[in-house]
Amino acid sequence: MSNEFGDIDLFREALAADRLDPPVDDYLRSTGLSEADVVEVRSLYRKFCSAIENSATADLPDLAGGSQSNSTTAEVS
Amino acid sequence: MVQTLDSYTAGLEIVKAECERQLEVAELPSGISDALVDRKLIFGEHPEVMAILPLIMYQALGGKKPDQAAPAGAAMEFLLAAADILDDVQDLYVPEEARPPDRMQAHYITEMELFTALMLLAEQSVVSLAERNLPIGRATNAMSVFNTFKLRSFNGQYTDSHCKVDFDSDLESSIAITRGKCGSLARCAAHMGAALATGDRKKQELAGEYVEQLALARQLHDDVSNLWPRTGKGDDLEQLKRTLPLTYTLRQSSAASTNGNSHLARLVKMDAAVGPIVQTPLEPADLGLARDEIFRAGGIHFTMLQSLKHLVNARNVARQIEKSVPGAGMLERLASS
Repeated sequence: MSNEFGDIDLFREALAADRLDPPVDDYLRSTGLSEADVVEVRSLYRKFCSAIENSATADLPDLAGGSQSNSTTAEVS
Repeated sequence: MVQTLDSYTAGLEIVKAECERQLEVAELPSGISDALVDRKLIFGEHPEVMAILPLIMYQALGGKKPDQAAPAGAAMEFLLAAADILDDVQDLYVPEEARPPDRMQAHYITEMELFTALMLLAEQSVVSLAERNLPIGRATNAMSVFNTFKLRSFNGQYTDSHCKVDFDSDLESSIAITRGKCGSLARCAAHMGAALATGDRKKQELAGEYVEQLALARQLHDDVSNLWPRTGKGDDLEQLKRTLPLTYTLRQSSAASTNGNSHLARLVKMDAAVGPIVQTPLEPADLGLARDEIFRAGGIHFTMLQSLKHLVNARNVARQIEKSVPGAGMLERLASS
């Protein structure tokens, strides 16, 4: 898909690789962002993922049963 | 006369005083003007930043007398209050005291009268810009901007209310609805302020673009907060609005050939027979499962990422404005807050 949403498949792959802290750089590049913007968006996104990690246990205890990984430890590329 | 706008509170006071002045000039029936104040339809507990935005943008682009932009702020305050009433009616919200059948009709008549009064007040306010000793053409330009974007905003609000998420929804249409409803109002406020400060059309467009990007970032963030965590209101899901998280999830469901089997897809099918606006009563358990599904499909993550992209876009536009208008750094700070 070549529009402002970029390559959705890349996003899906990134999410599947690690649900809460996915390496989203390739996806962000596919949306046409500059390298500086990729770094900035990814940094903000990582904060959001941390917030999700902190609230997930309390608010969505059944998430771990999903088919996707629930790891939060992977490094953002 | 206030010479500089050094705080949000100062801007609020200027716009509030202008709204009061416009109410006096309008000489509305006391039943209407009292209801506007008593129900806190204008300057309620959470004043709209968009009413201050014309003044902020006016000053950021070199305007020296914030009072001159005050009618634009008042016009936005009235327009936003009118939009809130329309929103409640479209959402079928009726306050407790108006729910008995014998009071319902009176309630809707009152809502229509208040909506009309607010739209007329907005028109009166924006026309009064002509009395502010602005450079030739600036007031007319601001009025033209107001007319253009108020109509776009109405179109957006109509579409938002009438377009539920369905199997034909795509991501572009979902964002277009958000842009039409929220982005247009924000763009209206900023573009008016810019048009009063400068005759430079490029700067005016940049001012509008900056605020539209901020508004999109905020609305998409709200769409996430509505669903996540579970304590979020969830009314977008109840009404199956065509928001980005719902559209994305339904598209994922279709792509995975589980069309019709996912929780969200089942809700959409149940709702399809009812038609637009009317809300299907959905079971809390179904809503909970659909909410989990949206999370698992990545709808929350995807929407948040789009919100952050728009936020960064806003900062970039703010930097462009600052290059040509020294001192407009406040815009970038606004996008960082």
